Amino acid sequence: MERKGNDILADLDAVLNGRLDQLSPEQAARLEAYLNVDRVTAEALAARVATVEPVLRGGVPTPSAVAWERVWAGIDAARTARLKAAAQRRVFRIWQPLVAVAASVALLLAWNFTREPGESDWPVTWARDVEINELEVARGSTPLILSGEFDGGIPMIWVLDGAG
Amino acid sequence: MRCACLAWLMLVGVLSCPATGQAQDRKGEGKPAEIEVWAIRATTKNSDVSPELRELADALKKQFKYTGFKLERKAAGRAEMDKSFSTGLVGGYKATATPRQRIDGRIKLQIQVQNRVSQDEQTVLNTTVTAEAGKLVPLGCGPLEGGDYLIIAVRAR
Repeated sequence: MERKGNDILADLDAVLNGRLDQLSPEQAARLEAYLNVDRVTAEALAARVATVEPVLRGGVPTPSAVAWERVWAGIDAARTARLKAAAQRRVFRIWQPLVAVAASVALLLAWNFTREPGESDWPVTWARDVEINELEVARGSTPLILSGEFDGGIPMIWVLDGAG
Repeated sequence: MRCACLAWLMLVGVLSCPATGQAQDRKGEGKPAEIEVWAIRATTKNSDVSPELRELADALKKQFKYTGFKLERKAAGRAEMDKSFSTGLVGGYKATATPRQRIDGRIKLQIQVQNRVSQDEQTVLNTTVTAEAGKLVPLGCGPLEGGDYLIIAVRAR
C-alpha cells in the first residue's frame, strides 16, 4: 500500500516537473484512476500551471526579415505562375472552338464558291423521261422525235435539213 | 465545349452535303438554275467516242450512220428563272438555254439553237422541254463541215 502511494507520488512528481514522457502507459492509467478518486489532489493538480517540458524550453530562432521576404516572393511567384497557366488554359479553351468554327466556315465557303456546274458532283446521266412542250424548227427543216422507248434508248429531237 | 464544336461541325457537314443542296433546289423554285450545254460532233469518219458519250453513242449507233461521237465543248453557267444562258458551240452555232419552271424534281427548259449564216443568225431549233433535273437532253441540231453533224446535250438543275 505504501509502495503504491510512493508510485503515485512519483507519477505526480513527473507530471509536475514536465516529465510526461517518462510515464509509461500503465503509470498514466494508474495516475488517472487515482485522480478520479482523489478529487482534492485532482483539483490541486488542475490549478497548477503546467511546467513546460524541457524539450520545448529551447528558444526557436525567429526567421529574419530577409527569410520572410524570400518566402513571400516564392509564394507570389507560385501564385503568378498558377494564374498565368490558368489564363493560358482559358485562352486555349476559347481558341479551340474558334479555330474549329473558322475551319468549318472556310470549308463551307470553299465548297460554295469553288464548285462549278459540271464538276464531279454532277454525274453524266441521260434523261429518259422528256416531255416536249414546244418545238419549232427553221423553215425547210423537219423535226424528228425519237422516243427511245422501243429500243431502250435515249429520247431525242433531231432537226433534219431539207436534204434529210 | 467539345460537344458544341462537334454539333457545329455536324451542322456544317449537313449544310455542305450536295444532297441537301439538291433538296433545297427542289424546294426553292425561284433559285437560279445551273445549266450545262455540251457540243457533240457526230461523224462517220472514225469510231472514237468520248467517255462521257458512251451511253448516247450506243443508243445512236443502232439507228444512225454516225460512228464517232466527240465532246467538243462543254459550257456551264447559272441563270435565274426566265433569264437566259448563252454559249457558243462549234461551226458557228450558238445555244441559249432559259429555265422556265421547276416542277417536282423536274425542270422546264427552253432551248434555242442558232446558226450564223453569212451575217444573219438563223434559228435552227426552238423548243421547250421538261425533263428530270440534272439529266442531259440530247438534240440533233444540224450539219457541220465535212459531213459531220452537231448534237447538243443540255441539262439544268
